[in-house]
Amino acid sequence: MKKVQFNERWTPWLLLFPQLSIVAVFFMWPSGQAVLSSFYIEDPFFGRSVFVGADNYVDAVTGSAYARSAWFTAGFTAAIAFFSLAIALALAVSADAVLRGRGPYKTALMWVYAIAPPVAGLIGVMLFDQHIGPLTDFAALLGWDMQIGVDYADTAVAMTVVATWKQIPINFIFFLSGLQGIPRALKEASAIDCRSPARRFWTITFPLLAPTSFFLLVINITYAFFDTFGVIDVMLKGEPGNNPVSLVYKVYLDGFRGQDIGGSSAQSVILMLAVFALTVVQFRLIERRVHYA
Amino acid sequence: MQPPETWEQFVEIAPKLKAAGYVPLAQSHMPWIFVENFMSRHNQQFATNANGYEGAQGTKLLLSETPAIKAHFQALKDWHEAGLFGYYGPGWGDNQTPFENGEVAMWLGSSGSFGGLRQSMKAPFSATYLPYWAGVEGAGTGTFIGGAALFAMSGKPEAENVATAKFFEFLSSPEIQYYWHEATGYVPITTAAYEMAKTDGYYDRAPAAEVGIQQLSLPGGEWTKGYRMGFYVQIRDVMNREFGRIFSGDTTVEEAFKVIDEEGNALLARFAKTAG
Repeated sequence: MKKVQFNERWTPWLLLFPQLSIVAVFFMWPSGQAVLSSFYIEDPFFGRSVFVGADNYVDAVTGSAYARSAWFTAGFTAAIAFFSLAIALALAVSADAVLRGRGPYKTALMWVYAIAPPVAGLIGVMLFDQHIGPLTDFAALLGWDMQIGVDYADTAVAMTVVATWKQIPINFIFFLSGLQGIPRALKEASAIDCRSPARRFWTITFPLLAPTSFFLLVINITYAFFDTFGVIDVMLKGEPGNNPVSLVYKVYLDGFRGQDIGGSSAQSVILMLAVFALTVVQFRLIERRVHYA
Repeated sequence: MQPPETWEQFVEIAPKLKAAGYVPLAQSHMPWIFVENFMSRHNQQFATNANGYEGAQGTKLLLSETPAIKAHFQALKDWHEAGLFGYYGPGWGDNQTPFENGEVAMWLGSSGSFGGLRQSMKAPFSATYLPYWAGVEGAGTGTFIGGAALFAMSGKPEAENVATAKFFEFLSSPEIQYYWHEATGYVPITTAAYEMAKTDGYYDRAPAAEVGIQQLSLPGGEWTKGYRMGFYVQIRDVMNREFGRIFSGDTTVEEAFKVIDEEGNALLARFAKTAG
């Protein structure tokens, strides 16, 4: 094969320019602004800034609301990642085994993906409504007096259910295509060696799906952190009250609703570092155990 | 049955309303109605530095040192447990809807809801003053105005300032004020608009529409002139959170007000840095 060498000095930069300018304008610049304003406290009304050093960081992490929000975010993220992956995998394995009418099943399962998070939130608000929500009525049948917007745990459950439901289809699509990428010969060989389908799944299929699962884990954690904003915003109906809020939502509450730009910036810088650290951990610890066929 | 003038009277009639199948009482904005206006209606000091008017430096909330408000929330908590008071969360609509549906007998909200309620209410309704505790010394004073404000910023060209002034003149003209008053229940900001509504016979047609103005015109006291505090949106959020915890049994009234003062004071101290 003939190796092509480009000798122009500027052509690569020219080709990279659109991507680099997007990174600069939409990531580097706002991040820089956030870091800068996290060291100032700003009068919400007249825009006067006072340098306060690390005060914003200290105030942010020592506030009782912050710890509460951080714990909620951790639990919320873990629950969404676990349930949406587990349910999607179960559905994908079942859909993969269907021989007749596979198309309609797949379409029906992917459908939900077309719903925007705020719309999913709105559906959640209706399903869990205190006065007329069918899921609230169902919970009452089981003796659970669900009060969304009043009880912290009840609202947390409702938010998790809606956010998980919304995320299942995309996981399903990836798992299904992952399953279909497993060579037929391998499946047949394992079927000859082992009679138990469950054992075949855990020893052959599941490890072969590991690259897909790892990719989805990263995607789902990012989703739970950032993209659930719309679900949370709609379900809170504008009043956080005694309800769980994620760290990202708290950045919005303090910055845009409370006009505390400095405190909000400090929180978003902490969040940026946390997500960065989390991603490094994922790639260092988990990816090592992923086997790319 | 007469609507209660005082909370003592509410205690008398609430069980009868409950027996008739209603949740006797609900409200749509606890920090506003049961803290800010409660303090005004009972002529109680809310914060140091003359309720914040004398400056932001060192302003501190006085809620946890005010027995009247703690007693009120203890009563609310007891009424809630006895089925005499409905708490449906911090959302405005979640608390107004059961009133519109006829589940709740009495609802505390904004005079600005009046226009909307006229459209949505199936049953006839009227309005009266916010009740107060007759047992609190000096209680029965007026509430204070709420709502948003329009600000004209300095440093604009003369021509723009003239235009802004003309626009404000237009907004505060009796015709526009009366129009808003009639359409929404909004309280007019000039006596000229109030007189216009009177001579037009509006209050003969809708007596409840006058209640907001009359309540604001009740005799005032030393602590009924409103408040000035920064990062107050966050302080209200702390209140709503702690009140939610009171009604779900996660905290006590005493502990909740201690937390509100502590976190509120921390927010006020933060704000004071911007005004330094």
